[in-house]
Amino acid sequence: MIMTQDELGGERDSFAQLVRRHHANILWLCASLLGDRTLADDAAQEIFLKAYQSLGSFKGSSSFSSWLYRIASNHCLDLLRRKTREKTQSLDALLENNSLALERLIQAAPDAALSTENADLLERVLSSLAPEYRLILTLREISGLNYEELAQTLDCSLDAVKGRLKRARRQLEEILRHLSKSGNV
Amino acid sequence: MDQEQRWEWIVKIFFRKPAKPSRAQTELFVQAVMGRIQAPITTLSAPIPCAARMVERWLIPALGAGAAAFFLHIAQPHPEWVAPLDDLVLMEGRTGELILPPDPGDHLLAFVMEER
Repeated sequence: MIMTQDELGGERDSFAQLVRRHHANILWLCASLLGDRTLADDAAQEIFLKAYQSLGSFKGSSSFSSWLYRIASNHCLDLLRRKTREKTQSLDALLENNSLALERLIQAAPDAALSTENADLLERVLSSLAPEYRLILTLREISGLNYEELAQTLDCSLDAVKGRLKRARRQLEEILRHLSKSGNV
Repeated sequence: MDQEQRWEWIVKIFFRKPAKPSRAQTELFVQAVMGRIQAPITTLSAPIPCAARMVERWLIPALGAGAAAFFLHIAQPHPEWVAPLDDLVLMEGRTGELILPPDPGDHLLAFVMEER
């Protein structure tokens, strides 16, 4: 959908329309990255507020959704980095205490309903990923951004996007390989 | 299961799409965001407009000049006050009592006046 000038100018009614249109996508991104619905809701509000304040800087060189995703990514990345600094349990401790549960989870059907404990376990594994890797994987796998959109959102080249996706995938596979070794002991 | 199939399996487990918000939830969210955008910004303001201008224009420079003068004053070396010799001699109502011991090297002052 083409942006109209009054939307770019920050007219409140038009901005409310933008919020309605993009709410689900931004909330999905925040919920997937932050692992907590309340935090995600607060973060999503902050993101739209930042977008409103920065409307004047949107030049149209990228799509509006890519621009909005960029604001959302930067905001969530800040929160993830803060969360990483506060993290107390190491990955080894996590795997030692939960390796069997994780192994069962991975072998179960992917669309099976998740219990609270299993959801928490998945969140803790994802938290052990570097924030930048978790972000790009989430943008790719949950938000469904293609390489071009990822490059616009992350403000980097296509090659950089592909390289970062490769490293992110490798890190997650490494974590799960470590898990399977622990499970076999 | 090959590597690509395994990765797809991992993605389905770890990157599940959260539940889509309902229309009502979205409307509540929109109201919350627009409410924050429309919230008035509180600022300190002087009751009289010209007083505000005076404060802005003169107060800070005046405070700065005053602080500079104060610090310059206390930073200046103050010579130690030395009591005149006559005062010392006249101290305690006794004339002629030399408070300070005579400097042996000073022949003019090396005397003790008798009390009267």
